[in-house]
Order: sequence, then structure tokens, then C-alpha cells
Amino acid sequence: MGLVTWARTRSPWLIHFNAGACNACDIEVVAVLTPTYDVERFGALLKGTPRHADVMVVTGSVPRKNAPRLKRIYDQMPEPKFVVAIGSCAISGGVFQDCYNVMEGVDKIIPVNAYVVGCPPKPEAILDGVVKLLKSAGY
Amino acid sequence: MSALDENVKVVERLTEAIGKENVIEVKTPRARRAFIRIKVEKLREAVTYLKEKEGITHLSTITGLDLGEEREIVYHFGAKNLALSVKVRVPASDPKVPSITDIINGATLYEREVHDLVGVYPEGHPDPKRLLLSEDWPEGVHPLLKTWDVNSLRKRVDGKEW
Repeated sequence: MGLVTWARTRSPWLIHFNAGACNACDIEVVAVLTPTYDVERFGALLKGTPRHADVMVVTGSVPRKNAPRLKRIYDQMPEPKFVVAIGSCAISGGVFQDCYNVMEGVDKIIPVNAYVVGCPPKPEAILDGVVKLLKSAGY
Repeated sequence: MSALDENVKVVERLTEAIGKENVIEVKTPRARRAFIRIKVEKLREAVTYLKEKEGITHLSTITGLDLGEEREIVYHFGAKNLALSVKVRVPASDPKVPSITDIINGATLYEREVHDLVGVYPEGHPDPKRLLLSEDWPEGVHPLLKTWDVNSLRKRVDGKEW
């Protein structure tokens, strides 16, 4: 493992993007950050700006109006960048499939590296998704 | 006097104020609930009466229905002891209602929403621009009309089925 990969995978800073989620997934994402689950032991911090983030955590079914904003935030992240889709909505649109204004999944807009299933997924599942993403990135 | 009589009275006074010939249908199915369908020309007069004489100033929302030949717009008012819905119907060939934003300011977003989704234009609205639909949405396509299903709508908007 190179020094750069070592440094990157041990401090994956997160940006959380709510693309039309009902807040259930967001509550679980926030739970991951609390001391109970403590994603910070993997060096992960929640950042307020995409320019400081390596991993984008996306929740929600991506409404049509939201899609260009999601793309723009993704474009503002520096390389290398990763995307984790959290919950049924972010994977496929969930119960909002076949709505006229729903894009049916984050991967229709931006490339996704890891999917976490559930409605909402448990904090453990989100943690597992982030760790698996880090492993695939060379942790 | 029961609550039912009370809300019948509000509807009766409204009927008297705008004229019996302009009222098409009245329903008072239960206590504290009333529906009245009036001619669209008398809408502003009715809303002004409700605001100034009855003190009903709270507009809960405006909803729209596609009935095929006609489109029905329902103004839901909330009074102290009464939920009053004022309905008007406009022909689908010329879907326009007079704006009531200058009478009840809270109607501004509801009228824009109804214009977006059901395509009934609020005439005289101070700022009738798009509210809910995305920027790349084609003009004149109103997704809640019954002529659309999800596949034909996506074909129209994106040029392809998903």
C-alpha cells in the first residue's frame, strides 16, 4: 500500500446529501456519527462542504429538480471521490418508483461505489457499507 | 342550535350574498363541514364576502381535479368551527380562474402549484412563474392531468421511456 492510499483511506471525510429523503435515512446517518457507533474511529468526519469531502453519502429518491444539484455537488468534490447510496430510495427510487418526477436511483445521475439496503438501513449497515467501501479503496 | 345548522347558515348567507342563480351545488354532509360549488365568475365576490363579512381568512390549500371536459378547482377554507370548500369548474379548453391572491395573500403559492400540476392559470396573479416542476420541464405539460400516465409523461419529458 502506498503512502497516499494509506493516508486517504484512513481519513475519509464525508459529505451528506439529502436528495429528497424522508429523513429516516438521515437520522440513521447521524446515528452513525454518534459515539455509540462512532464512525470516527475509521477517521471519518462529517464535513459541511463537498470541497473537503472524499465520500458522498446520498439518501433519498432523487427528484428531477434535485438531480442537477446532486451532480453539481458531486462535481465540486476533489478526486478521488466515492459515493455511498443509503437506503431503498437512493438505490432504486424505493416506493417512489414510477412517480413522474423521480429519477429512480442515485446511479442514474452519478457513479455509485457502494449501496446500503434498508428502509431505513440500520446504523450498523451504514457503517458496514462505509467500511466495505474503504476496503475496496485499499484500506 | 346544532353545529350543523350553524354551518348551513354560513353557506346560506354566502348564497344570498352572491345570488342563488350563481350557486350550483351545496353539500353539508356533517357537522362543521360544507361544500359549495359556484360559478367561476362569482369566485372573487364569494371569497371577498367570506373574508370581509364572515371573517374566514384562512385558506388551507387549493386543489385541482381533472374531470375530462372540465377541471375543478377547490378552495379549502378553515374557519373557527367550519371547514368550507368552495368549488369552481372551468372548461378544459380554456383553463383559467381569476386569481384571489390580492384578496387572500396566502393563495399565491397554491395558485402557482395548481397551475404547475393541473394547468389552471390564475389570471391576475402578480408572479405566475413555475413553482414545483424542474427547470427543464417542458411548457404546457401538467403531470397530474388524467391524459398522462407515467410512461407517456416520461416519453414527452425525456424523449424516451425509462
